[in-house]
Amino acid sequence: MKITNTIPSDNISEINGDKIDPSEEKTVSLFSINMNNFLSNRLAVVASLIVIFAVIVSIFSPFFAMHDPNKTDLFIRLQPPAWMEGGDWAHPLGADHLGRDILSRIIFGTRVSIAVGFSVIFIATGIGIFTGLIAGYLRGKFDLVISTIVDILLGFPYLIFAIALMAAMGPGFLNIILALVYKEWVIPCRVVRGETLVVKEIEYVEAAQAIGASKLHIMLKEILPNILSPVIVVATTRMATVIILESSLSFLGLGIQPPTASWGNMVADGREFMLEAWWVSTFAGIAILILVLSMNIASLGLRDAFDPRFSET
Amino acid sequence: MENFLKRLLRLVPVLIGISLIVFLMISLTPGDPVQIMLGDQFVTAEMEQALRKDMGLDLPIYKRFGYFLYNASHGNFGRSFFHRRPVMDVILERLPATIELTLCSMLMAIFVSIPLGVLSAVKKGTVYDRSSVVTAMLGVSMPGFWFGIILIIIFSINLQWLPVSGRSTFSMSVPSVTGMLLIDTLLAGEIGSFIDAVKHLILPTITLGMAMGATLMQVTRASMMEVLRQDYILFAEAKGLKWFRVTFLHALKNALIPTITVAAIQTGQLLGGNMIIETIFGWPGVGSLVVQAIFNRNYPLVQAAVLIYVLIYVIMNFTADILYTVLNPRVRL
Amino acid sequence: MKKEDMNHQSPLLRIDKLCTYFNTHSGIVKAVDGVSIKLYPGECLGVVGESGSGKSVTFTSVMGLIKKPGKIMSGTIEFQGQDITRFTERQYRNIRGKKIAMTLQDALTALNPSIKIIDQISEVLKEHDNEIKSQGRRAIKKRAIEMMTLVGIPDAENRLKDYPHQFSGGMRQRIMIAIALSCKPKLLIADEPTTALDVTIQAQVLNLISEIRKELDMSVIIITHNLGVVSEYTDRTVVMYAGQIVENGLTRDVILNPQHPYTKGLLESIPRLSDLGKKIHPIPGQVCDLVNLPAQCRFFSRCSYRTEACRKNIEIRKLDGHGEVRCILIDE
Repeated sequence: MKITNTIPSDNISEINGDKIDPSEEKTVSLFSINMNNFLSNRLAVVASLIVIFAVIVSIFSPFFAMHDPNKTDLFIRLQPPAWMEGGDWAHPLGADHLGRDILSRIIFGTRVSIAVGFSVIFIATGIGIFTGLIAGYLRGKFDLVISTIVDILLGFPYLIFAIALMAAMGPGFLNIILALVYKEWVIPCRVVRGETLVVKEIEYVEAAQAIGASKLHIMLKEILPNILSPVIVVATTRMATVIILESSLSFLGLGIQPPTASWGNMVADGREFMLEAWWVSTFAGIAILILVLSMNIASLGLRDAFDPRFSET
Repeated sequence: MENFLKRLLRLVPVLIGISLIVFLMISLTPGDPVQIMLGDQFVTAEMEQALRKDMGLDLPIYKRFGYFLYNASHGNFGRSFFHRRPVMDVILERLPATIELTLCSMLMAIFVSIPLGVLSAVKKGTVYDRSSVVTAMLGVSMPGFWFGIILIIIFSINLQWLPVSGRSTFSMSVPSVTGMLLIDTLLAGEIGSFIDAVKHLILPTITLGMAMGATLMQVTRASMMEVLRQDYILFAEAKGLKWFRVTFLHALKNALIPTITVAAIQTGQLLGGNMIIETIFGWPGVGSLVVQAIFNRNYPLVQAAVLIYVLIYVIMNFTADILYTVLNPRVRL
Repeated sequence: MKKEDMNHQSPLLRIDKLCTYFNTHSGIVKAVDGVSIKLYPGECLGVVGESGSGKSVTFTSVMGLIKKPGKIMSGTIEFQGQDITRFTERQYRNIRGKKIAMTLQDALTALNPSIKIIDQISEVLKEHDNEIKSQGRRAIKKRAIEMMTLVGIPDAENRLKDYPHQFSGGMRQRIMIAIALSCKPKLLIADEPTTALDVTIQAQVLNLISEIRKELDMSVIIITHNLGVVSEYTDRTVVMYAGQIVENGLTRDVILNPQHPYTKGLLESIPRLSDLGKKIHPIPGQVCDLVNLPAQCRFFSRCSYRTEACRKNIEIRKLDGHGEVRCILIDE
């Protein structure tokens, strides 16, 4: 933890623990990211670089991949990875049951994960901020309606909701995004609403009201900038979850359909061949693991950077 | 008490809303349910019309919803397209398997993660702590379906220690009393079958319990760390009390409050993970049933299962809410 | 206790050049830097200082409750003749609550919110008093009621099963005192016993401590920043600043005839009715950075009497009479 002021408190428990001077507790989470703090957390930096790398790969997939992900070649059906017997460095991670290069499919699969992850979070957060601000600031009927909807939607376990929706709507890229957004927006909405309720009691909001600022102005200019930091942290954490959800849906066959490569359906494909060709499922799953883990670590680092109070290290 | 009733009352609109959504989702699916149900059978137009009427499909939608609610509250979800039997029967048949798996996963998650979380908080900053945190992160970041498959590849296929799928080996079946193999085998005195049942349970339990366990560990750790910083812990130590008492009575009692509420919520989420894990391990429970039903377009069953899952989830969340107030004397009194 | 008598007895507690440092991310904080205090049986000592002066840390060190990143670096602490800095955790636990008891500033946070009061009192008894433990639950309950009544909690018997938040602030403080005194310790360390309380309750609590002190023939250390408390209830006073003792003496000497500029400043900054209409004189400036300590008098930047001669480490000196002061400007 960074302490800028080294006057230690005389209070025993404040020295033995890492509690901060009580007067600091009253500050609201301001949108001030402590870049130094973030950069000093090497793990978070590495994780963020991995995420950025994934984004680059997803955009420039054709440049990274050595083969066409959909090109089948039954001669190399179920070829093992390069370092094993029978493997070949032309297909470093082996080939699947249709002779498609696994590495290339993983690279193209990045597109699906990143695209779904970013779009869902982007849209859901947008909707969430909008509804959360209205519910939190305007209260009254708005709050009642929005909160009830939120409660109802929260009453569904995530996966079941998504599965049911996908079953109803049918598979496809747009449908997945829709299905996931349907439930995802309630999470930023709840965060925004909660923060708005706190922030609107702070003096500068009252001050703005006193000089006759319009409600819209207050919501956008006074409240919003100050609640952004928790919203961003939540958004990055949720992105990791959304990516797992998409891969789960694709795994079940309800998401991205073959032959389009999605990490989820790659794992599903490999299930039949667990006995003889473990690599078909394994590497795709490792890709999910790496990306999601990096996002989780990066978002933890972000959270610490915004508000070192909550650092656990 | 009236607090409790108030909360219960607030559930009602939520439950109705959920039922409505489930109902609509299914009603608005593409495809004519009558056609799907009949499949390839040849029927006359009159028979089809009669069937339609029988299923209430000729009624306006709000009436259908009313009937739906009425029937549902009586446990009547119609007949399964696929099984040609009442949906409720089919579900109830498979329910014990799911309950057994969910219960075991929950217990494993709780009894492994909470102590680990406590120890991690107490030994904050040490190697032990750091590795626990990393493991928890991994547990949360791993897709459950993949983890299950990896476990199968390693332990069932390569090492051959454990069976690949299913709930029990056919030859080891025992008379069904509770439907839960662990209990039934013991009741029948068949130790061999008991061990067989346990072997089949291990991998699915670990897979299902992993995500819940990882989150629970993180929550316990965080909550314990927060509690250990409090003045009352210092005061307890100043009284000269033993470490054990300070950590497990003074600290844990307070730290468990958020932990248990999270555990209740997580149990609800276990249900979601249920479907995938059951499918991977060929576990004959409600989860795999639902997945099949979706692909078979067996809508009455999907509808019923979703509704039941949701109901359990809502109840678990409600329980979590109540638990929080009950456990925290400051709120209760 | 006459001051002549005090000289012939051996001290109950003797802190000798104690140094407790904290290894933080920004550097080593010298919270307690060479503190020496003597406390005699039956005496009431006041320890005065601002936040950051090291007053609480000194006595947390005495209790052996300094945790990472803090550590007692050097010095000795003798209690009843034994050097307790060498104690194992087990030996410490034998003292805590039994021979030395401590109360904290805020009774609301010091009492466990999830545990009933009866349990919070009885656990101390069960831990340290084998005799009463062997007499069973009823005996323990009886003693708990005695303690509660002693500190002035009405209807004690019925209130035993209540939780801390069901009591008012003043009562909680009393309960904390009851818990601390249940094993009749030789020394009570009261850390800011009045800070979280209303003025009227403050007096009640302090009077209570005084009475019990006489009854149990106990020594008391009152840690506070409130000179009013010190002047009325203590025999001797120690003034601390930035981890060091700057003045030490009989309370009436320190209050009526302060020697150290800091003590003078503290007394001057108290607004008095007789000074109506005059300016208030706070001590200017802030406490120095305890990580990067300059090799000079630590009060230098705020002292109105400072000279160039003060730019070196100042040792503490004995004064005529029974006091000490850490200032080179005071004549013998």
